Amino acid sequence: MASEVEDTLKRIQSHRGVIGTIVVNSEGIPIKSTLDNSTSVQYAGLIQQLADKARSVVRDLDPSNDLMFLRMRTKKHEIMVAPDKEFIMIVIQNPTEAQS
Amino acid sequence: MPPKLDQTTKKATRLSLSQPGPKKPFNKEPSRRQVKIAKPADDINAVTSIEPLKPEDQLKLTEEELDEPISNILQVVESPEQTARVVYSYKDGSFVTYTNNDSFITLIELTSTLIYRESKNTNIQNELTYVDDLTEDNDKKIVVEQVREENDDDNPDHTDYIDENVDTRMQEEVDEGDSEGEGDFPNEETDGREEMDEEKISKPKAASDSDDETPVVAKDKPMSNIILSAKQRNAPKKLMNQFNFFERCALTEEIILRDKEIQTTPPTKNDFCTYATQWIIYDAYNEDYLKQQEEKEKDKRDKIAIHANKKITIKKKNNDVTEDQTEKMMLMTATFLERMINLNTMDAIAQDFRYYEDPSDQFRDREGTLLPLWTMTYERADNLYVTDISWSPDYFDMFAVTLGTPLGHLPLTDSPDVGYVCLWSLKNPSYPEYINQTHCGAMCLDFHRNHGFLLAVGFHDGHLAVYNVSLPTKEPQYMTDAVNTKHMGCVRQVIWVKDLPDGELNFYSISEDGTVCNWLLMQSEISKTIIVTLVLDIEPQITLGGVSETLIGRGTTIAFHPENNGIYLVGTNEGYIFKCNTEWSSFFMQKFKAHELSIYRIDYNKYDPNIYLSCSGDCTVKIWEDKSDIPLLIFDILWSVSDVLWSPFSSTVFSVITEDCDVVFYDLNADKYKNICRQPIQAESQYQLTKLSFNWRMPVIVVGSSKSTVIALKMSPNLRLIMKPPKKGKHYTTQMLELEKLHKALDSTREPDTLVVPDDDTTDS
Repeated sequence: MASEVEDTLKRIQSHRGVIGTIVVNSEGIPIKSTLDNSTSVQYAGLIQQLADKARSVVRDLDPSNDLMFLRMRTKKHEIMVAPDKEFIMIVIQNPTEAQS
Repeated sequence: MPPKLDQTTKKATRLSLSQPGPKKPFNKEPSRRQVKIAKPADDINAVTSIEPLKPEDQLKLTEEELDEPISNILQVVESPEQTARVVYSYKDGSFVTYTNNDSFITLIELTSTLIYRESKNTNIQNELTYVDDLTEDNDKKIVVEQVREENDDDNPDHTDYIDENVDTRMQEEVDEGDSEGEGDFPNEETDGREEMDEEKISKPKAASDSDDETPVVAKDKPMSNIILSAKQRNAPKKLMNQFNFFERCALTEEIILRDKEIQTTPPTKNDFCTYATQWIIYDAYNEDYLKQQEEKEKDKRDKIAIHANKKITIKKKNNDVTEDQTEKMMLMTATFLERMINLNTMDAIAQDFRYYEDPSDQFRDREGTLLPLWTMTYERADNLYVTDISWSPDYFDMFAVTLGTPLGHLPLTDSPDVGYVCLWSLKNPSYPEYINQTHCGAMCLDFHRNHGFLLAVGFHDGHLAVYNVSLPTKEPQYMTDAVNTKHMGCVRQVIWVKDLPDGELNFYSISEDGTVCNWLLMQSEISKTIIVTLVLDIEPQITLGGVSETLIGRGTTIAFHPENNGIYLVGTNEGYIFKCNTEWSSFFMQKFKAHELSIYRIDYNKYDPNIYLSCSGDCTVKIWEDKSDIPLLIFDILWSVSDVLWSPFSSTVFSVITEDCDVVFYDLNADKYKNICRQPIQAESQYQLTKLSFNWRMPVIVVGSSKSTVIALKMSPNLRLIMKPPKKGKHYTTQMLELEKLHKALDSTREPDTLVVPDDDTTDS
């Protein structure tokens, strides 16, 4: 199972336009990253807060609901966040590069 | 004898009282007088002593000097008042001048020991002095007494002898004592106190000498009286337990109290803050509920479970499950992300897939185009052939493929015989959703129509397996036995059929060993029934030592009649088509030579089950009508045709793939001699198309190739033209119109005599 996760992450990284993948544990520490240290720490810290906030928004509206996925389309990138209870997966992609 | 003892003791006391000794404080008094410090009390005492003692260093004065009067004057002088004395005042916090407020002046201060004789204190004083005497005189008296008593016991005559020992001065007192002894009680008034004292002294002595009982008994009477009187007089003085009473005291070392202060390390402080939102509360309740349920189940289990071992295994399992859960979630999230990325990267294709309709179709008469969408490759098996494709009945965007090497191509490849079963989703064209490596090349597969998770797979070593793709395990649910049940040749096609009336799932398989088998899924195994053996009744028959063997057709494809379950068509490698019924195993409803080479596919028309087509390696596609040996139409494709299928959208459209990497569409309604679309897939050597499959919902076909790639193509509107029901007049369904269209197209090709056949067919079926 673990190797399948690894393989999938590797594949994700090999996709066109993917800038980086970060896996953050529940404490907000990046445990796996393809970016450099400072960037991943910054991403991990900021996005964890955002994901927490987003989750609380969703769950405040309906407690039986839950946040599954969060996409942020920025001018330069698209940041995809898949929050879970025990980890957060972040992928940063450059969609314009991907399509060309 | 006892009275005598009394007397002697009295003598002894008298003697001790009057005897002047150096220990007595009175003896010093005369000398003090010489120093002339006036102390009246001393003077009085001094009078009692007869001869003054003079210290050695005393001045020796002559008589004259002594007579010389010395005046001693007592003057009243007021001592000068001390001035300028200061005292610290705590009240003011400074030194203030001391003022004497006493209204008297001490002139003389004398402390005296005199007590008034009849005062209360006198008794106490006497008592105290007596105790003092007692301690001093005790030693002497005891000695005397002891001597006396010993003498009394042994030889009474010794009394005189002892008397002689006593000082001569005491002699008269002894006499006096004797006289007193005679008149003991009358004299008590005057001498009582002294006597009482004496008795008291003697009493402890006598008691301690327990050997001689006689004196104690004898003295008993007078003593009790005396003691009584003494008690009355000296109530406060009470000697308790005079015999063995010790007053002992010890001063223990004083425990010094010290204050000691220690500073401990301060306890760690933690800032704790949390939110209490609605959903946190909701979660907490949910968790609690789950816990309760679990406990209930556990109780139940405990009641049921007898063996302790069982519990342990259950616990272990639980742990594994939780660990798996996280990883499972991770995998799910990762695949989810991958899909998202694919959606981003292949956004344009996805849009095309859903919304693009080729606008140029309007200007082309009946021709259409194919738009290539995704090319999906499982890179790990890129040298394998796509041997079969089947769309999932549950999800329109998912299909399964088998990867393997067909038997004919096997010797050419160096790679070991491997096979895969892969599930592809159009949402993630970069990687299969499900991969299962099989023990050898997988040749064919089919999804169960009602249970979309059941996948029957045939292998080219003759095995069959049923997989449940919804389970995490990759093990097949059912597998044929290598000895008894498996096919003797490569399995070319499997096909699920309707469940049996009692709900048992079953499927048919066609194999190159020339048998059609029915497989029934039992509880734990699959049971095999050979339905038919494809016997070719043709010469030359094989003769082995006089025993003739029948030739057996190597089945390649099977197609079930869409409406009549029992009827099916089988195509063989030799180009024969058998029409069979599941009811009869030794009899063919129809058998004819359809092609010159191997038949790859037979497909019933989706609208009219009497019409079917077949394709073959002899580069032709033939359209047949039921019960007829002569094809209605023959299409020469000019290249080996690997697959042909009727379109599910239009009754007259079918698609053909060739080994030349062309996808060709024909529309009988438009043109019977010319294709309406020809789309080359990939111009590459050693690349051929192997399988084709129509999606049942979207206008999409997928084409498998010999390089394990699967290409999805979108059909343009012209390739799926359907008859629209007219707005006015009689109402016809699309189904009827399509049927009409097909027959109209075929009518022109039919022979006049065969025109009657469809009517017979309808009565037949």
